[in-house]
Amino acid sequence: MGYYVIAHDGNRYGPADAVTLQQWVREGRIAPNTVLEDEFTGTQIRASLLPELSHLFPQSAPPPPYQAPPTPVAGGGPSSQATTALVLGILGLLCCGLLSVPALIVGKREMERIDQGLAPVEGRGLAQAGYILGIIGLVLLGLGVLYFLLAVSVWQPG
Amino acid sequence: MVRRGLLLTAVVGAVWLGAYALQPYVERAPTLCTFRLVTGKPCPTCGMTRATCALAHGEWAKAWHYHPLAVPFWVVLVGLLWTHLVLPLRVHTERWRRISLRAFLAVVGIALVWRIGEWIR
Repeated sequence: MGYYVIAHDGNRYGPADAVTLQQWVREGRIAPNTVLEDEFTGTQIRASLLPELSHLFPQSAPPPPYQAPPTPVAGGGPSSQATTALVLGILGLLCCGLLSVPALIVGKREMERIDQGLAPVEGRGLAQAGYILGIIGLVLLGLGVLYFLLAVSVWQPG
Repeated sequence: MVRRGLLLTAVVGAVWLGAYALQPYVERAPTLCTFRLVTGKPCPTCGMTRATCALAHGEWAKAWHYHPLAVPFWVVLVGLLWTHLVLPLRVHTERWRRISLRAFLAVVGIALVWRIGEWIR
């Protein structure tokens, strides 16, 4: 069974299983008063009241007055996924447009991970560039396929 | 997750149906590859469209002739799409995302080395 994490801005992340939630608590991404929503029933509960997580929060600590946004991970340079998204985006434009598909997807996913504080924030520019190049590559591929279909429609065999 | 899985299956299925329908035409069509248009040499994934169309007709030998890595390319591409678009965000799925991305890059890397070998010959 998984839970969605309701961020202070109303966004929902997940669903995440108990092991993932425990890891997020240890990393400081989930505070005692963070609201979790049951994946299936939609029931909402504070993280400190969830049996799987309650032992991870210090009992004496008062709950913070508001839920902090996900802490951006900084340092260590951009992640390999961010760099990969950019490289695939460039290859998608220069070589086969098919490579634009993974560029777009990997770039988008990495931007989401960065925004959730799960990946180094330094890679956001690279991931975004890969994402945008992926879109451009796909548009060009689509135009190429349209041109190809047009050529096929007027093609006379023999 | 089920809905996204079905959607991805439908899109990949549509691509293969398109490949099946276009098979008679792609073999004599002009290239869409920027790299080939500029340099005159095939890029690492040149031939993949024709190989895919041949595969859609079950013509394995022809697919191998156009691009020997067509089958592994599609396997890792679908794996990449599945892990990134269908699986929910969890610790063990993060690992599968990394693995699928590395597998995809490995196949593209092998294609690159193979094509560089062709350019040199």
